[in-house]
Amino acid sequence: MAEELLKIRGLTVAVEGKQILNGLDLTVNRGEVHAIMGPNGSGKSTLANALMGHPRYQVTGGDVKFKGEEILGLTPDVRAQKGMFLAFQYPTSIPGVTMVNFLRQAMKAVRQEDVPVREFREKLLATLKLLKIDEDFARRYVNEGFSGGEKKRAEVLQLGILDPDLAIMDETDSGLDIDALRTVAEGVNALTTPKLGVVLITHYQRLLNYIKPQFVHILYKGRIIESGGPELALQLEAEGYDPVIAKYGGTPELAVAGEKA
Amino acid sequence: MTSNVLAPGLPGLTDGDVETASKSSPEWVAETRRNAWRTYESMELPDPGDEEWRRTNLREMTFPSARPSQLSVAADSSRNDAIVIADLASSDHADVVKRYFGKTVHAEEWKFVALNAALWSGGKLIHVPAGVEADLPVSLLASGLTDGGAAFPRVLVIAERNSSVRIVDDSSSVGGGFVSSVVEIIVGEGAKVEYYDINRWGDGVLNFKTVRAILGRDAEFVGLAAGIGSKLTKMRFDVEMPEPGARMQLLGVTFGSGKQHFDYNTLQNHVGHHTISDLQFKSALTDESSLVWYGITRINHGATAAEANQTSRNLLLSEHAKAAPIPILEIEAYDVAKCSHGATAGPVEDTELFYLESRGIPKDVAEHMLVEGFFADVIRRIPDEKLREQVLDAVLVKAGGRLESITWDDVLAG
Ligand SMILES: Nc1ncnc2c1ncn2[C@@H]1O[C@H](COP(=O)(O)OP(=O)(O)OP(=O)(O)O)[C@@H](O)[C@H]1O
Ligand SMILES: [Mg+2]
Repeated sequence: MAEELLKIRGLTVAVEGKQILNGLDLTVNRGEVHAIMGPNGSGKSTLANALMGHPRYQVTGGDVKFKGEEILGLTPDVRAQKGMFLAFQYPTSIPGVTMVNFLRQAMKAVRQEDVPVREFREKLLATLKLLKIDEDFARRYVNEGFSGGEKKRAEVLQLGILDPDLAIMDETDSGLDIDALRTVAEGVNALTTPKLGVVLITHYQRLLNYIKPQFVHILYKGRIIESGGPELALQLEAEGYDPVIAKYGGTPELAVAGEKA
Repeated sequence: MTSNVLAPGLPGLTDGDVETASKSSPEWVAETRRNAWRTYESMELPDPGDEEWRRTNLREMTFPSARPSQLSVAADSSRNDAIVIADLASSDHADVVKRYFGKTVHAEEWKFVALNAALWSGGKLIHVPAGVEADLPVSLLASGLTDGGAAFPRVLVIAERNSSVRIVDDSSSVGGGFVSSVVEIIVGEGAKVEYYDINRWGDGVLNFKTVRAILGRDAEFVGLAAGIGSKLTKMRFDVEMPEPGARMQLLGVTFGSGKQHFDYNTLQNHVGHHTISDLQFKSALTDESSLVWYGITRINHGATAAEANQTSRNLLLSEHAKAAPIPILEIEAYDVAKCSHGATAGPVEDTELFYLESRGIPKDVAEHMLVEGFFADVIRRIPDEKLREQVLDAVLVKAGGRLESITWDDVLAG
């Protein structure tokens, strides 16, 4: 049996006093790719941020286990050290902090030991090459003045360097042109190992042509209202969200209440 | 000794001190000292009704009695033999000193400037002849202020046309005391001067400083105020651009802690056409420290096609720290090319902090990285790499030192 990596039960999350996630369940095993799709504002980024421990996303109920350990009480840095990684939808820029220093600090922090310069260099050069990123990137300030596409590549670069067990990727495909999408997707595939579990948040089927999910979930108003295989994404692509939402009676609040186990 | 109830001065100082200071001076210097002393005695402390003195009210302060310290200013000049670095009172350079001394910063401006003109000691002249480019920085190291003493440093910089020089004015002491400094900088046509002030006075020092640079046609000036030490710093940093084509940058990096108070007044005065100015002042404030930055950009009639910017950013690292950044724009010219300003004060951005933490970096290290980055982003404007590192090291002492850092070139080489 596959080893369980992430287990979310009945997660509820509020942002500024407003309930956004309304009891969410999800289990991700090692080696699995789970796509999460859903209309704008359905709570996808809220899920991603809450899992990583963003202080602005207040967990009001439920529990989350990572590698069998309850993580909701842990600070974000400790979650990362335990092997969680979030590729942000909107990566923030940090003027004055160079990529090379940032990446080195992050690598040391996640490994909780010093990283020899040589090893750091080999790893960084290889990952830059894989993602077709110019070496000069390392000299620049973190995300400062990066184009949308460069920011997304930089997130995947970090995924490669930090080597997590769980990668939550929040719309890593948005803002990429077709060539960049292929590069990034192939990069993610090359970085994927049997130990890695992936939660792939996306709006587009086109990404799923490259990174094949075993599971597709639809998030709507803070709950997963439908789960299925890759065919579900194809169905969404063809029909949009309406049929799925309608299937739950058109008033998702009721539909979700009925679904509650 | 006279004492004036309306215009009390610094207790402990007398006109006898003027005579003592004059002993090693030529007669014309002694004369300016005596005149300045009279001015000092006749002037009141600044009126807290004045915008510039509102937030640092000297009339409410009690000045401890202080005796003049024997200030020594070591000038490292050995490697720049084409430039003159001399005692301001030396008779060898009397002609040039006489011509420029007190002409850029006038004794009558305010009481403590007059006091400086009366009692300065350890004064330095830096004279760069036309066309000479000093490739190494001139460092002035001021020391000798005894705990509870008073010091009156004075520097006169004259860079003749098409010359260039960088000056590091680094002051330190231990304990308390009173300091009033004056720096006059004359930048000739096409010349370039960089002036870096590093304030590491002892944590009880009341530090008053006036720096004014006046730029010739097509001249360039870079000024930096690094605020690290002192209990109170009131610094005026003015740049005058009366001629066309002059360019200037004013940089500020201050790290406040304890109950330190820093109050900066800056002026970017555009008179000549096609003049360009940029000001970037940043501070990080912990504990109960506070900072005021009151900065005027003035674009006068005739300063057509001027470009000006002023930005003040302040990181509040504790809930009791305070910053009041106040940008003032006075625009008289009709045809200004560009004029912008911005001022912020607030805690570390939580999205930035979270970004770093989400990569495994513990909160305290992440915060430290953000503070370093915050300053590094201003300091990168210092052209000389060694100086950049020196300034960053000096400021970040207050943050408990610098984090281990590496450049991409190091990585490639290592
Ligand atoms: N920091 C915040 N402050 C206030 N409201 C927020 C915040 N973050 C999210 N929300 C609100 O929570 C809801 C869900 O937002 P979320 O970002 O999770 O949606 P999403 O599914 O990721 O949408 P998108 O597809 O547009 O990225 C929205 O109504 C949003 O306005
Ligand atoms: Mg989102």
